[in-house]
Amino acid sequence: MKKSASLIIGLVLLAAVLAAAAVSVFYTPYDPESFSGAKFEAPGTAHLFGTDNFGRDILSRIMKGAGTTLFVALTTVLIGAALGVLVGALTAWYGGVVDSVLMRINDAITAFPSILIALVLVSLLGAGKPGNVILALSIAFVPSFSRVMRTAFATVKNQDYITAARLMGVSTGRILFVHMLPNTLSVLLPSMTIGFNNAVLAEASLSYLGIGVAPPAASLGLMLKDAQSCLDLAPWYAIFTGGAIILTVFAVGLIGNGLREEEGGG
Amino acid sequence: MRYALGKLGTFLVTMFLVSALTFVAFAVIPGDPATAKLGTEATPEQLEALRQEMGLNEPLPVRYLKWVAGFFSGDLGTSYKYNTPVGELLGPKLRVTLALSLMSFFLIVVIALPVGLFAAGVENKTVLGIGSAVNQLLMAVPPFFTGIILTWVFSLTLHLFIHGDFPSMDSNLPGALHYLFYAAVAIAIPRIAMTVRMMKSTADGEEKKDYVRTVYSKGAAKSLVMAGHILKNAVPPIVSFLAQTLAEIIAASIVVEQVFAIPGLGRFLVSSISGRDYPVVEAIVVIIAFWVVLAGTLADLINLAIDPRLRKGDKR
Repeated sequence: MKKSASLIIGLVLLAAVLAAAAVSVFYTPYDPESFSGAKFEAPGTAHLFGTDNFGRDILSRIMKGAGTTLFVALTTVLIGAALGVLVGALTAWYGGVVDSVLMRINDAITAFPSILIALVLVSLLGAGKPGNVILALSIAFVPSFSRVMRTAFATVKNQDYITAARLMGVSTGRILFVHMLPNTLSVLLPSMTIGFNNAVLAEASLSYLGIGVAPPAASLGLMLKDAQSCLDLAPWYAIFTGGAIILTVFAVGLIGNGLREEEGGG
Repeated sequence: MRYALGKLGTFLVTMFLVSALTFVAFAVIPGDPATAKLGTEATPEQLEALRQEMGLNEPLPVRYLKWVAGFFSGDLGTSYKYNTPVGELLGPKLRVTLALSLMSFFLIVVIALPVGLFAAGVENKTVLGIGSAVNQLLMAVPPFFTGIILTWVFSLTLHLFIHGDFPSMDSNLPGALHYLFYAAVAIAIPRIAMTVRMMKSTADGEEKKDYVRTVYSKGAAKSLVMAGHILKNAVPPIVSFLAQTLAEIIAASIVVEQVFAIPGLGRFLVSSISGRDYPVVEAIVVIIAFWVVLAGTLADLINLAIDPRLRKGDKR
């Protein structure tokens, strides 16, 4: 099978971002939270991406911040997808009234943009804690996963091998998650890439608004907020930080495309 | 007609659920509104009196019905912070956000539709590859980042507008629209890219269908098939997609208004959330959800008007 070019490029770019974020756990060029040079040093050999308004190394902060953002996005997508799979599987399997009621509520929730749900929930739960951001975003993302997974499970449900498994007396849980789930991956995986990107953007937006991750922790959105206040003195701060977000979302977008291409074209 | 009524029914049910969900969320979670309004130093008697006045001692369904009735009569409650009716506070801000959203939507439609049509006809593999890479990159650009860059270039460097000094829409409408333009561009860029890709894939999907092959076999030119057949069949999905875009624009405007310091609904929402001014937050949340549901319903009705297949109840 020919591998899709965008899948490979996407995986390579994402691996680079992930590696930078992972390395930041035990190594950054400088301490990301204390000053290591003059204020607003332009990018150069000592500070590859320059320094910020406190003289902190921007590269180190981006590595750390990407770590926070990626961690929040990844957990959010995993929780949102898991709950979405559960709701989708159960509604598709049982159908009937439960299905109609749940899907109506689901549709109603999708009327609220996920950033709006997250904003309100985070403020109600308490701003500034990454845990609350993850919880709020996961809840906000469940309806979109439920919707696509319900369709995917409903399609698989009518296949002969499922009927066969049912006649053989295989338990419902086993049919749903051992027999059917693997056959919905072609739907689940691309929607997880979309969800991941939405989560990255949502986390960055929330932190930018001052409602997500709180300082002194580094988060890409929080850094953009800082960068905006010193745009005229250090435009590179905003450019490198935004660049990190774009690179991540671009990479995952390519992976999503690649997954769809492989599914469609073989 | 039955289909249209059905859509209207769905609209009403959805709006009921949306308003009920919002109401319950705000009734259950934020603690006692009377305490929120008076602060923690109020005496129990004061709190009780205010609760009575605010109708907080009534059962939840009664309070919900009163709240909904208030929406229809223009009474959206009273802001804790400003002590003025929420409706008065929101009016001018709603206008700003509406202008921003519609401008952004206009940009998306005017740019994405021709580019999408053009892209649908391209067959050269190299051009397609480069185009799709550029498109993917543009889709990854968050509007609030574009906003920051546009501020840097057009406000701080070129001085074409003064960041933070939004002209009044009453006395200086052109100035206000000029200011909003940069924000509209920031919101539009990734959505233009998404719309182009959506059109391209819809057209590609149509092109594989039997009827297109039949038209080609009759000797029709490519441009004619594109314009006369494929485009016609691609319209309903595009209409639905654009309705969804309208919803995404309003979501993006929440953050972008903050970037440009635009006194719209989104910025007011964020400051009301920080100030725990729940009646304001509640009203803005319902307005935004109403906007999203309305856009979806309108798209369904437009599709119904242009696509006769839907009228026969023929679910595709």
